Amino acid sequence: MSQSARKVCLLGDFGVGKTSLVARYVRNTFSDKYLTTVGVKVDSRLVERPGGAIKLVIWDIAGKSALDLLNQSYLKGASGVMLVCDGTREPTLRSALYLLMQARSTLGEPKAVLLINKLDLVDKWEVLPRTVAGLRETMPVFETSARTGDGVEAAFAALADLLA
Amino acid sequence: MSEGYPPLIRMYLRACLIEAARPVVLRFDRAGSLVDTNGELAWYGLDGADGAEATGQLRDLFLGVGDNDVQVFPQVELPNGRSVHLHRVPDGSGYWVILLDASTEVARQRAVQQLGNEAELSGQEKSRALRRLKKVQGELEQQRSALEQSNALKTGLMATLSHDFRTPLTAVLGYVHLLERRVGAEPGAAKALRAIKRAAVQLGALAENLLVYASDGEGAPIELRPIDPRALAEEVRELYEPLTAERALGFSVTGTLSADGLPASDWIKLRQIIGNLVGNAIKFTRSGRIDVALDWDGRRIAIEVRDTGPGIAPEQQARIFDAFARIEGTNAPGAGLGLAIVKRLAQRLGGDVQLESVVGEGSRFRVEVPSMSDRLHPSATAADAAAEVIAGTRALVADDDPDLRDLLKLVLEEAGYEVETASSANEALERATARPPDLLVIDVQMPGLSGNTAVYRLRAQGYTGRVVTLSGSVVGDAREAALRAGADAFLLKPVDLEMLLRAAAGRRDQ
Repeated sequence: MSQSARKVCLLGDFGVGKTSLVARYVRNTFSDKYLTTVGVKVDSRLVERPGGAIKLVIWDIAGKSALDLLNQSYLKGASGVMLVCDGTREPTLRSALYLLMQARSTLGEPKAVLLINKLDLVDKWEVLPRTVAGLRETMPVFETSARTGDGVEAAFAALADLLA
Repeated sequence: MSEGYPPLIRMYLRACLIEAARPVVLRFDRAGSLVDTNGELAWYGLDGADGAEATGQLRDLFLGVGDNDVQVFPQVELPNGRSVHLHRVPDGSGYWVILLDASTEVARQRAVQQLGNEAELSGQEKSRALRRLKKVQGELEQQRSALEQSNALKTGLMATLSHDFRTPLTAVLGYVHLLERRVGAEPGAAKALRAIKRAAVQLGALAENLLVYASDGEGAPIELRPIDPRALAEEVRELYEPLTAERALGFSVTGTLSADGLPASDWIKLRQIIGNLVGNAIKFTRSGRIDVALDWDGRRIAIEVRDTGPGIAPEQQARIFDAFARIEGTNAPGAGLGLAIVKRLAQRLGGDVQLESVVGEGSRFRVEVPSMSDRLHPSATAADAAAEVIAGTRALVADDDPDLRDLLKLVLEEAGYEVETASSANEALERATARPPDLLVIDVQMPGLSGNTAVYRLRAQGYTGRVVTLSGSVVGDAREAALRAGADAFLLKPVDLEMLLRAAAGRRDQ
C-alpha cells in the first residue's frame, strides 16, 4: 500500500454528474447517457505534484441527498471529500452541504472541495453567483463541466494539494 | 454454515451458495503482498496481465482501515464491471479478502433505482418548466396590465381632449346661432357668421375624425334624434357651397322625404359622414361638379355623393376605406382617415358604404343606414312638440366654463326661463337645495364635485325638477352614468341649442 495514496469520496445527490466527473478525470471520456450508480465504484489516478506524486483513490458513491448507514461505511478511511452539486438544480447544493455535515460526523474534518457541475448549462443555472461567492469563503469552489472538462482537472488538483 | 444441518443438506447448500456467490478468497501478508488465492479469479478480472493491477486496486480499497479491523464494503463495482460484496478479515499475520458476487443484486437494484431517479429528474424538469411557464405567464400578465394602463391613459386623454374641444366649440356655435338670429339680416354680418360657423364645423369634424380613430372606431355614443333630410341637406349646402364656389365647381344638395315621417339617426355622425365624403370630393375634383343626395325612402337613409374627379382604379378601390390609405399618384393633403371613418361610422349606424368609380370619369359613394326610430329616446320625440315655457319657470345652469354658462343662460332666457347660474356643482347643489329650480342644466365634468354627484345628491334629497346633464366626454357609458345619477336627459357637447330646449321642456323619462 503506497504511502502517497489518498482516499477521496465523491458525495452528492443523484444525477449531479459524479460518475461523469470521474470518467472525465480518470479516462477523459464522457457519455450523455445517465446510468445510476449502485453502491460504489472505485477508480484511481496518479497526480504529479512538485513535492512528489500522489495517488488519488476515488470512491464514486451512489448519489443520495443523505448518507444512510451503508454509504457511511464507504467513507471509512477517506482523507478528503469532493462535494458535487448540479448548478441547474439548486436543491442539490443544499444536499451537498448536508452531506458534508454528515461526512464530518464520520470523518472529523476531511479536506473538502465543492464542485458545481454542468457549467455547459450555465444558462439554466439556479445556483446564484452571490451564493457561490459566499461559499468560496468557506471552502474551495469550482464550477465544472464533465461534458467539456472545464474546471475538472483544477478541482481534483486542488483536492490533491489539500491532501498532500 | 450451521453445523446443525444434515451433511447432505450442508453439502447441497454449500454448492448452491458457492454457485450463486462465486466466492474468491485472497490472502495478503502484513506488508500488503498477495500471497495466496482461492476461487475463480477470472470471474472478477483478477487473473492474467491486468490481474496484478486489479489486485492492487483491491488493496487500495482498504486505505485508512486499521490492520486489525474487519471491514465490509457491500456493492463495490470492480474494474471489469462486476459488483461484489467485499470482506476484509485480519488474522494477525496479514488479512484475507473475500469477494462475493453481487452483480445480479446490483443489476436489479440499478434497474429500480434508474427508473426512480429518472422519474424524479423528469419531475424536477417538469417543475422547472412549470415555474418558467408561470414566470412567462406573469410577465405576460404584467405586459397586459401595462397595455391596459396605457390604453386607459389613452382613453382618459381622449376624454379630456374631447371635453376640451367640445366645450369651446359649443360656445362658438351657440353664439353664432344667437348672432344669426339677431343680425342675420345684415348681408356682411351674415356672410361673416357663415364663415365662422363653417370653420368651427370643420374644426369639429376634424376633431371628431381623430376621436373616432383614436377610440378604435367607437367615437362618441350614438345620439338619436329625428332626421329631416331636407334640413340636413340645407346645412350641408350652407357649409360646403362656399368651398365649391371657390373652386368653380358645380354643387347641388337635395333632400327628399318619404310619406312615413322622419327617420331617426345620429345627426352629428351623419353630418360627419357627409362632411368627409364631400370634403374628399372637393379635394380631388379639379373641374366639373359635386352632387349630394340625401334620401329617406321609409326604410333607409341614403347619402349619395357623386363627383367628376379623377376616379379610383379598381385595384385601389378595395383598400380605399383602410386607415391612412392614399390614392397613388395624388398629393392631396390629409391623413387618409376620412373614408376609413365614413365606413366605421356607417357601420356603427347599422349600415355600410359602397363605391362605384371609373377612372377619368368620377366616383359615386353611397352610404345607406337604417332608421333607428325604435330606439329613439322619448325626450327626443317629445321635442317635436313645440315647447312653451310657462312664465316664472326657473332654471339653474351649472357649468364651470363662463362662456358656455352665459350662452346657456341667454338661450334659456330667450326661451322664457328665469335663469340662475352656478360655476360649480357644489354651488349648484347649495342653490338647488335652498331654492329648488324647475330645471337644472348641469355639466358633468367640473372641478371638485362632479355634476353627476350633485344630481344624485339632489335626487336623494327628493328633488323632482327636470335635470338635463351635459358632457363633453365620449368615453364609455357617460349617458348611462348620468341617467343612473338621476338626469332626465343627457346631451353631448357641442350641444345643439334647439335640442337643449326640447330636452329641457320634455317630461322626465321613466
